[in-house]
Amino acid sequence: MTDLQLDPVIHVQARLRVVATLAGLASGDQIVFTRLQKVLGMTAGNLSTHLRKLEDVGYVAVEKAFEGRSPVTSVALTSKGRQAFETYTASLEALLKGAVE
Amino acid sequence: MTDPREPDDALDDAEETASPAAALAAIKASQETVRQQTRPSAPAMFAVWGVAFLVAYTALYLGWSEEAQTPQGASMLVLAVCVVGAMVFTGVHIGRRTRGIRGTSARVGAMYGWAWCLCFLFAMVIFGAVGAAGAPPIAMSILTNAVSLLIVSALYMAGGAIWQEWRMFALGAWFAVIGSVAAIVAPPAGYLVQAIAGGGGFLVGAVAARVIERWRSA
Repeated sequence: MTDLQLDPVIHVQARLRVVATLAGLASGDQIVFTRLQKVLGMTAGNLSTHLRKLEDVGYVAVEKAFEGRSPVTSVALTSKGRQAFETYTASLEALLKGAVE
Repeated sequence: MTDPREPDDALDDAEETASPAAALAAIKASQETVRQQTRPSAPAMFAVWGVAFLVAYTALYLGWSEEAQTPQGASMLVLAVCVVGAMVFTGVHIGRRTRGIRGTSARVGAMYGWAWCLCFLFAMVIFGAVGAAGAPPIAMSILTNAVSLLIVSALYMAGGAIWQEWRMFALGAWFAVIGSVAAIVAPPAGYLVQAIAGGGGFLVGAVAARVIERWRSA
């Protein structure tokens, strides 16, 4: 597999699902952590770990705020993250095309 | 973020995606899931409003009084129940689907919701003023109906433009046509036009949207 061309941060099953899901939201949208967890069917700890890795490379922005008295964490794909995801998808398509030809 | 870490954290990086084809399939599946879970269902909403239109306008047709030149009795109650019921369904459904989504689309949705609310309040004022100016009952029957449908038509087309949903735009355009026909035909036959063509239009839209969703997720 020519993995060298693929973004190693995204090219991990669980993180790919996280990024693809965030990219599926309208641009400029954020999703609350607990809702994202529900959509993905992941445990809170697992999702946190992956989000931290994505945040470290600047692909996602995590925002913590208070709504009334309860803390709410919301997550969004950054424009860098969206671009990385698009590049990753394009690379996959190119690889697939190369494999067929 | 939510801590503490759980034991399954350890296995994450080991799980590389198998192949480009599998990765692309995973992307498609994830995006389909998020789309289905966080966006309002067009088939469900079209179906509910289709039934509401069909029942309400049939009731208005049946409740028409030649003498008063307006629908009477229980027909107005049926109309109110249908409209309120469909509105409650719409509100609850959209609220559930978009829970936890913040930002641009929430703001757009709120503005769009307010547009409906303000347009209908404006319409009520028009009806009150025209009635007070002495318009005959038949003219009021035509006007209330036509203005309501004008709002539905315009906002459906606007919604289609905002969300690039051609089905919504097509329904709005269809309402412009049947609203015009209903105004020319005039009540009570005009109500029948709206029950069948209006309610039917929504139901055809619901079936088309369902077929497209199935085809897309296949």
